[in-house]
Order: sequence, then C-alpha cells, then structure tokens
Amino acid sequence: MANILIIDDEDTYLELCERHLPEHSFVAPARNFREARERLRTSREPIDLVLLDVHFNIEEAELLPLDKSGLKGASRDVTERLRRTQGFKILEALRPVYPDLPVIVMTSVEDLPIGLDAERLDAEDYTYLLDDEYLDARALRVQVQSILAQREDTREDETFYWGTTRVMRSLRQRLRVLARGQLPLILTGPTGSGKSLLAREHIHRRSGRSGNFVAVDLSTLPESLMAAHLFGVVKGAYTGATANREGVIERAKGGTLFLDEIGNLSLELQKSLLLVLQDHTYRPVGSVEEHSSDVKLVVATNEDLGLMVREGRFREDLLMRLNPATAVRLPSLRDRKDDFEDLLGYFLRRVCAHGYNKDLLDQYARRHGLSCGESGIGVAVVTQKPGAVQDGRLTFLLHKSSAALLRDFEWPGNFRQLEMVLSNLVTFTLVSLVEDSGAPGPAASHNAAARTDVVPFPVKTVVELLRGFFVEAESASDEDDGVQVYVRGHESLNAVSCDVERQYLEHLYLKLNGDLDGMAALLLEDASAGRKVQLRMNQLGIRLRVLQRRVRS
Amino acid sequence: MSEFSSSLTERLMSLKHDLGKYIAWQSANLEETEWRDGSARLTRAVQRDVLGTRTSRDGANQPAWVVYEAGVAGMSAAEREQTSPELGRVEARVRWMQSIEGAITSGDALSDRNVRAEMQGAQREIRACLSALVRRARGG
Repeated sequence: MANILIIDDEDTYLELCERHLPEHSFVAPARNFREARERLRTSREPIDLVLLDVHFNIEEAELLPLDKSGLKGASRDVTERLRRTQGFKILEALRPVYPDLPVIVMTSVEDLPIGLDAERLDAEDYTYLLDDEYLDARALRVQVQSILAQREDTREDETFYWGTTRVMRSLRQRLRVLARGQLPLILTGPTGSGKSLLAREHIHRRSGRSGNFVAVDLSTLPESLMAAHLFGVVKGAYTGATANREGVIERAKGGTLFLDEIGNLSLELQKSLLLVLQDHTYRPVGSVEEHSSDVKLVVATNEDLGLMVREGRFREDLLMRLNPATAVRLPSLRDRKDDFEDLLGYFLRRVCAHGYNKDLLDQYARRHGLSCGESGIGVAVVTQKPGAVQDGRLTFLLHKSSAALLRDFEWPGNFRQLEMVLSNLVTFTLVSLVEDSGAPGPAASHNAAARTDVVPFPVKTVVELLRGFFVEAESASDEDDGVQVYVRGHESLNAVSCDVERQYLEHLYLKLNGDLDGMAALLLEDASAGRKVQLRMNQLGIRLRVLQRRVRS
Repeated sequence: MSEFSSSLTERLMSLKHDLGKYIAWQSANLEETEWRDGSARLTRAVQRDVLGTRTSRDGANQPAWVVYEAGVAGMSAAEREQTSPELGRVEARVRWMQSIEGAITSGDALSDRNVRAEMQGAQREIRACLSALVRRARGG
C-alpha cells in the first residue's frame, strides 16, 4: 500500500483513484501549491507518489507565481493562462524541495502549454507525463504500480545516504545528469566519503549502460603491472605472459570503469588513457593491434590534479579530457553536521541489517518477545526516550552527551569510520544484553518499568570507542595532549591533591566544551551524574561562570 | 505556420481541457459491456460527466453546455470561421446532450441502448474534434 497525494482543484482524480486503486491510501487532496506543500510537510506517513492535475480553477491569489507583477499581457488572459498551466508551476515549485518525489502529471503531450520546456519535464527522472487524452484508469494503475515498484527497488538498493540538505539534493541532481552523459567524470573528496560507492551504486546504475562496472584502485597496483591490468596483455609480451589476458578496459566494455586514485597513474600510462578517451582505442601490452574501447570513465582522487599538472606529474591534456569542469566533490562527514542525526539513523540501520549485529538483534528480540517483521526487527536511534512502543522496532537511546561527542568528533575516516564505530557500538551494547541470557534484561533489573524495546547505548562505550581514535590522532600528530598540572607547595597533602584535581577538572571541562554529563561519563562512568561533577567543582572553588565564558569564546 | 492567434489557441486548449477531457472522465473508463447492457454505474458516470463536467469556483456543477459556452464566449465571427468545422460538430453534440438533460438527470435516457450508443459517440466526437482543432491551431 502506498500513500498518494492528489493535487487537484476538484475531486475528479480522487474519485477515479478511490474506485480504481482501492489498495492505496490517499491523503486529503491539495487544492493549490500552498496546500500541497503543507501536505507534503506534515503528512504522518511519507508521501510515495503525487498525482498532479494541470488546470486549476482557483482564486487568483492562490495561483503561482504569487507575485504576478512581472507577467506580460492582459490581466484576464494572464490569469486564465496561469490557471490552465498551474500544475506545471506547482511542479516547478515543488521540485527543488522534493527532487526525488515521483509525480505523475495528468496531461496529454498536446496539452503542454506553449513555451513550456517539455523536454526538461520529460528529462526529470521522477516526473511522468500520463497521456490522459482518453484516460484509462487501467493505464493509470499500471503506471502507478510500476513507479511504486521501481521506487521500492531504489529504496532497497540505495546504499548512499543523500540526506535532506539543499547541498546534497543539488549534488544528487547533478550526478544524475552527469551519470547519463557520455563524458568522463571526476569524483573528489576525502577518504571514506563514498566515492567508489557512489560510482558503483549511483553513477553506473543510472548511466543506462548494460556492461559491467569494473573498479580499480590504482594505489594498490605495482607500477610494473598497471599497464597489463588496465589494457590487457598478449601471450609472449614478456616473460611469464603465457596467455592472452584481457584488461579492465575490455571487461568494462559497454559499462563503467572506475579508476580510484587516478593520481597514481604513471605519465606513460596517462598517455595511453588519453588515447582511450580521445580515440576510443588502446593497445594491449605486446600487441600491435588496436582495440576499440567503450567505457564510461569515472575517476576519483583526493589529490589536486590541477596542482599535479603544474608540478608536471599529471598530463594537462588528460586532465582536460577528464572533464574537470564538472568534477564533483563529495563532502566529508564533518561538513554534514546539518543532517548528522539522520546520518546516524541511516548507518545504524545499515550496521544492523546484516551479519553478527542482525543475529544479536534477533536474539534480543526473541528473548524479550518483541514482534518482528519478515525481515527482522527495525531499529531507530533517538536522544530522548520515545513515547509509545512501536511494534516491530527496537529503539537505541543515545545520551545527549554521547550524541554531542559523536557529532563533534572530527571523523578523519568519514563515513567508513562512522559505520565502524556504530557497528562496534551495537555489538558491544547488545552482546552484554544477550549473553546474560539467564537473567531478565539489565534495564528491567534496574527498573521494573523499564522498556525492553528501548536499549540505551552506554556512554562509556561511546567514549571508549572514540578514545581509540583520539589516541591515534594525537600520536599521529606528535602532539602531547596530556594534562599539564603544576604541583605547587601547600600546607597539606590534601591541599596539593585538590590543586591537581582542580587543574585536571578545569582542563577536562574546557576540552569537553562544558559538557558536565560527558565529564561524568568519563570520570564516574555515569552520564547522568553531571550534577555530582558540578558540585565537586564548586567544592574545589572552580568558578564555572569564568570557564563557561572561556568555552563560549 | 498556424494562422490562429496565440490568444485563440490558448482558449481552444483550455476548452479541450475543460470539455474534451472531462466530458467522458468517468464513463470512458467503463467496460464496453456496460455501454452495451447499461448499468447504474454507467448512468452515474454519464450524469457526472455531462451534468457536472466542471465545478465552478463557488462549488456549483457546470454541465457540458455551460462549459462549452464559457469556452467560446467572446469569439469573433472570424474566429468561429477559423474553428469550423470542428467546433460546429462539438456544439451540435453538446446541444443534443442539453436537449435530453431531463432524461439524463432522471436516468431514463440511458436505459435506451440507442441513446447509450449515441452518448458514447457524442463524447468521443467532442474529444476527437477538440483534439484535432487544437492540433490544427498549433500548426500540427
């Protein structure tokens, strides 16, 4: 069952759909752009599909564009034209905010308004024009079902998290266009930002090419073997070449060739690759025959290719052929703080979907009698205890100090590192609950009212998992980040001890940006004991207000 | 190159949408057997399509002839000439529907197999004529 929104000034489509598509649910129809935006924003269940009428016989004030002062022509004609083409105006206004929402526009191509860029509308992956010249509800039904099935496939296979920010939406839109083009594509971005994943799952799949996706990491190939690996080799070309062997260019014929760390390609081989791009030909090692190539080339690098050209390490003509004007830079995890919470949820679901974590989840669910769907129990992560129990879902509760630690962490390994940390977090949390199989759940043992569908992530585990990376980062940068304290002479040992403790707490307070709960988690292994830490700091005469000002500055 | 003014083309496209699209909105989706044998569903569908082709902004149902009249209102003699013969055929079909308004309302008209066939033909002709006219207006 899908959730369908009908945008129509009358109930004509609603009546038709309720009769012919009774298996789906229809949210209250939207009569104009304002209502459509509202429905999309506030619908309790996400909208799966929109059916959009074109002609809207509505009040002038509700017609888009809201500012009509720049429109030419007699007022009555302008208004009537806007009414007749309002559906397209609504679509134009919704697209930037909902680029992937499937929309069926109920119109015949003949009815497309004069001057409307019909090609552009057709080019939208998620806009479908239904020729309703002789509207057959069965045709509508077939189209709705095929769109929903396609969307389901996409959802299941979507392995790259796009999020909801404007930057990522426009990046996705751009990649969708570039994927379909014939030109090569450069992906840049820090390690772990998802370059190869994107090449395989997004670009290749949307390229419309039927051949294979072949990926080569040039940083892992010895230079002496690179030519044979890329272009293939003929028998007898060198000692040990006992048979003809095809290269990756041949294996990717008709498909996509992804060359990771393109900066590692020798100048000699850069020339050969240039010929592939320029003339679509290449010669296997030891061959005098030219072979034809047919690959969509996607290259990735974390280096500045422009700088490499200036330093003579990369051929300028090759860079130009690689289409640098459309190079796509993937943001690091650090740059995606805006949708960090959604990212957490997305990666949590990923790490719980397979392997050991899935086994642990299933065991936990069985042990506590939690209901599961066919594909197992669903998971979510929240920072506040959820209200009602949700059937078929286990909710991980992240303490706000842990959430802050995760959000503010630098994540040098980006998404790969986040996934690893979350995977470990789920494992360590669930293992302790599942292995203690004889006793009731730990939460329940502490509190009879505790809910078994909510599992808190221990703050200590979060801290420990991140601490490993802190140590690594610190030792890598050769910086001593230990706490320097000055042991001054005092009248008693207790006074010396208090002085040391004061310095240590002040340092920790500043390091954790004033997060008392985080300090409590580190010092007392109890993230709810921030108040105790504060009391101790007061006892030691630490002026929190002064420290707070330092944190803010 | 079309000889139709852009204003006239726009109005014809609007008429094609309002009348051509909705004159058989529900009834076009019914099985042929229902047209042949008649049914309560067919009666309801035709009543909705012909007597409530569009809804005005104040919520009142507009029958096909009102939608037609609104679409051709203010058309000059020269424009009527330009839109001939298609618009003339549309008008004839719409007027026939108007002439049996009472029988459509009561449902009596659609109990007659010949009237049902006439109605189906009229709806199809209105659609076909308006489509052809818009194509011609756009220079197609």
